[in-house]
Amino acid sequence: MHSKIREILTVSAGIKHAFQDDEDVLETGAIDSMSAVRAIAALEEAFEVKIPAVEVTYENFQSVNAIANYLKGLID
Amino acid sequence: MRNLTNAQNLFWVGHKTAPKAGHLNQAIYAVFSDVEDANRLVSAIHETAAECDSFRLTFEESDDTVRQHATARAPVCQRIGVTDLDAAMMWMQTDARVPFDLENGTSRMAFISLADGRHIFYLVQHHMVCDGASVSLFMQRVADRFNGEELSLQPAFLDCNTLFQSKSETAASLDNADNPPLSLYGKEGGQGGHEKISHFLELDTNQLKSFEQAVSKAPFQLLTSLMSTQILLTTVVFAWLSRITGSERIALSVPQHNRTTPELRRVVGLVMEMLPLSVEVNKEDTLTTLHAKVLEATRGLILKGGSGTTKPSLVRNLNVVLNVFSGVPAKFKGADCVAKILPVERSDPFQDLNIEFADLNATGEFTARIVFDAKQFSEVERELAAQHFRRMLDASLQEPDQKLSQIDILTKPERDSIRAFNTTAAASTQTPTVLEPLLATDRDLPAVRSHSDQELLNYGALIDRSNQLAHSLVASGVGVGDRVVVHLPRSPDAIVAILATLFAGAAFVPVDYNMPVERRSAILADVQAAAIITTEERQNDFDGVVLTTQASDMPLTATNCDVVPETPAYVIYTSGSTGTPKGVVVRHRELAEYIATIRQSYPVEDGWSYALFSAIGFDLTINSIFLPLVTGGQIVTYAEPAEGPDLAVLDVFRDDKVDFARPTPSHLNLVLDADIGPVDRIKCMPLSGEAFPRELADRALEQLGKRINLINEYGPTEAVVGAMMHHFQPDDPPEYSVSLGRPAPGMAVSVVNEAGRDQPFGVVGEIAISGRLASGYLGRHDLTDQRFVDGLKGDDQRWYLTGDAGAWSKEGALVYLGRLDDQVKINGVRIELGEIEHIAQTHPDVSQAVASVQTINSRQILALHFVGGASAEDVKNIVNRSLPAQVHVDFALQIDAIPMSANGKISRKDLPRIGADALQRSTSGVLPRTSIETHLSKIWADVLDHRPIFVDQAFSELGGDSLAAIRILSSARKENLDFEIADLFRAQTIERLAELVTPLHLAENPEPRERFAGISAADRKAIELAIGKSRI
Repeated sequence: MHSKIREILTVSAGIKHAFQDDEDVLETGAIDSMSAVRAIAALEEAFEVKIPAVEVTYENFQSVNAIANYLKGLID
Repeated sequence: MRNLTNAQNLFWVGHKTAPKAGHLNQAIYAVFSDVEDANRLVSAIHETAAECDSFRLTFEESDDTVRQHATARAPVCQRIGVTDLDAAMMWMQTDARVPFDLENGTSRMAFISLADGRHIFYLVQHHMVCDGASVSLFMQRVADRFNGEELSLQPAFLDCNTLFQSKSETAASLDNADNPPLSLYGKEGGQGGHEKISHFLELDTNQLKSFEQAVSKAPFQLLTSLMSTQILLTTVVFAWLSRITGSERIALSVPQHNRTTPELRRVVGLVMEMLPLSVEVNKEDTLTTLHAKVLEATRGLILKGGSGTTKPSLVRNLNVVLNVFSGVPAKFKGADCVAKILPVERSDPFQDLNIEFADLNATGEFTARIVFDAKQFSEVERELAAQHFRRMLDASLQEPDQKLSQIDILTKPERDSIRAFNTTAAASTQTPTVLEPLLATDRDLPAVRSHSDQELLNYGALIDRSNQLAHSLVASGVGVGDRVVVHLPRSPDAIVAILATLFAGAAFVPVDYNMPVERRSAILADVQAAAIITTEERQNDFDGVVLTTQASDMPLTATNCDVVPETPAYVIYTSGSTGTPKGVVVRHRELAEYIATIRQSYPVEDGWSYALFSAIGFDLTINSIFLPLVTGGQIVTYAEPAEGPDLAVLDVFRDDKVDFARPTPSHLNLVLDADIGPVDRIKCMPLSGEAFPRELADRALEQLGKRINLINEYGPTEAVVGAMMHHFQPDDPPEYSVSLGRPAPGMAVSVVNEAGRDQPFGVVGEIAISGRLASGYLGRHDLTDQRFVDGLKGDDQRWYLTGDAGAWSKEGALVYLGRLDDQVKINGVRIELGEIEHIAQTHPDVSQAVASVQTINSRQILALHFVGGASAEDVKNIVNRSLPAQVHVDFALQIDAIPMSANGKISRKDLPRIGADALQRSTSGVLPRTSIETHLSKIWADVLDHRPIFVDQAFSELGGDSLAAIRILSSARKENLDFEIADLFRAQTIERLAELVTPLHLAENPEPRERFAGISAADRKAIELAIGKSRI
């Protein structure tokens, strides 16, 4: 799951950057809102989940780990 | 040479509307202090400009395309010396307005040295080659170079292939053709000019702090702080716009930065694209729920958008632009640099509002600016709009879960204006009921006379006979507070029956003698009358207690029934929107108050004669019964015919034997059409019941006599006949309806939204009335509570919600806009049928016109029925020329007479239906017949790439847009056919365009025409309209 998330983040942001699992992907500026929204859509598709707008928060998406935890919650 | 990107194309269209306006110039200036080596700074600027190909772009038009290429020539940064910053500002602002000749260059720079040692770098570019981020990137690169840092290779704009690939297929999913321009404060959207005026919202620290707090926690905290700020500000903007437009569907034009790859994040040039952001704001929305909608819409936009997505049709209707941006300032070693946007105060005429939130230092503190169209918004209006925004921001942040529709955004000046408008004399209360003055009248004075048989009752006889009948009612079991149906022709007997009912302490329920039986039965079933008074002929039609007005042996003395002001006086039935009539109960106090009011306000004298010719079950008839009876006057009754239309009004004006007549505007129209007049005796005419067209008032004075007093009175039955009055004067301002004037003594009016909050000026809302009101609907407590609301506006007043649409004018007067139910929307544009009718009536051969919306094959069409000798085509053309681009009359139909209801009002539902076959015919295929038509259809076929072209096919239905229009015009002029672009958009079909085409002759036009050079003011307007045009 973590590697898929990493791949989606780099593709959506159009960058070649190896995100660490606990790296703050949002505050580094590597991902802006436009790429984040694209990334979220790609995550929805990849993991076959629907991410409600109200759950698109900093807490849920700040790092690869946070995203993985959040998605696990959704899938279960 | 490369074609334009979609983003550039959008601005190119804007440029072509007014190539000399300079309205797409984007300028910045950066003030440097303590620069040691200014020459090195200028070199850094020069070198950076030289390596950015977007600084060297020029554009060339060939036959039907525009192409661009980067010249070798880098723009030169001219050096200027001026005394101070003010002088520099003046110079820059003048220069920033100088238009670019796109064939020669698209960027200009200057390095201005001030006497105090400071320097200014000034840059102006055409929007086709830059965006906000591009300018920041440029400045950053200049700084990096100046600071001696290592520079990566600058990517060329023209090599960014993603920008040059059109993504029209994804654009299709964004194509929400139903996004009309927003009508801000009731103004027609997109009708501005190039001049704009900035208004800075001075947000105080408290406001910024509460905003910061809001975005730092759920539910407003999103992925990044910029995103949180952006979405919340956008949400407040939507909330504000919904209140100042009165619309639910709000669509804005927003930029999408599109810098999604590392390369695009570095390229200097136009990458940003404008896209529509559309959200539905309903009356239940709170800041929280609206925020979720805005977030969802933004997500959708990002996913569907991207480079190459935009196209003119997506944003051409959008007259409001919203920009939220943040930036990181460029830092120069050893120098202090502050860069700012130079407000050029010019923009696309179609843009009425440009809302901008900028956080240029990326600190989370933004400055807010609203750029208003200078033509559309006066200084006062700009200030009000800004205050409304601030109130919406404060209140919604304070309580994010309160309904936005309940937020009170009105400002003190507006409140003062409404208060002044509603400040009237105290209500007139001369007598507790209308009966006291009547009983005190000289018994020998004539009271009521029949026009047909000259039967006459003087006051003595009237009172005696009424007393007698009152005794009969009491004897039949009628008690105080009961209801008695009066079902009699307009006659002295009807007056006797009404008075007898009142003498018996009961409320009279007038039911027209010629009312259709079904409706009559519905009323009788609802009213639960204690008795019915009718003619001998009809007494067997009814069950229960049925009386006639025949003389009896009952006493002539007064009954001892105790009538107090709180006793119901009458119940009048009005049509409910569900079709079930509802009874409006009016008490003696309010009746007496109303009659006392009009006695004071109308120019009437004691002893006058009054015509009783309108339906007795219609509340405007109340005047013609009680005003004479309290002033010792005489009622002259004009009976309704046994069958057929009720044209008694014609007899009244032919006879001319009364001083006072109270027609509806439709009645008056009938009289004028019958060529009656001038009249000698009739001198006072209050009109009510429907909108009173101005030209009807003028025509009435012309034909009937200039000394007649015309009074426009407005008021629903529920507000006891008249709530507002205006004495018409021939020199009244030329509005298309006669003014409603001011509230009557003791009355107040208000325009409210669905939550009962005051609407700002210009915004359509529901008219609410307080003061003298009916007590409610008979037996319908739920409906009464719904329409009569205590403390609607948080005051201690009882307000009646009229169901009428109205708005406050800029001058602070109330404008009546018809029934809320009749507020029709076509292509999302709210239209007022009255306005269309007014335009039609400006045709000399149209005496009356009625517009209506009909649905044929589930398509809404706008129909116009008219009376008069004009041709349908002419009438249609006249009207369509004056309507906003989104609305046009589909069919004009000549008819003999406008159908009228029993109450003498226009009856839209009885208009002849437009058949589906007529609609079919309108798009048949007529081939060109004349040489001009042939030429034009050939040009259309080429430009629109569509064959065959029929001469009755509409330009916009063929996919024609403003670009196509420019090309058609250019080709037509080559073939010596001259017309203006405005003609094309108005005519829509070749058939109609051909009539407007002037063949050009060299003799008349010795100067060869330069292509496009001749775009006139009218053409510009048309292109502007076209950009804002949804499909016609």
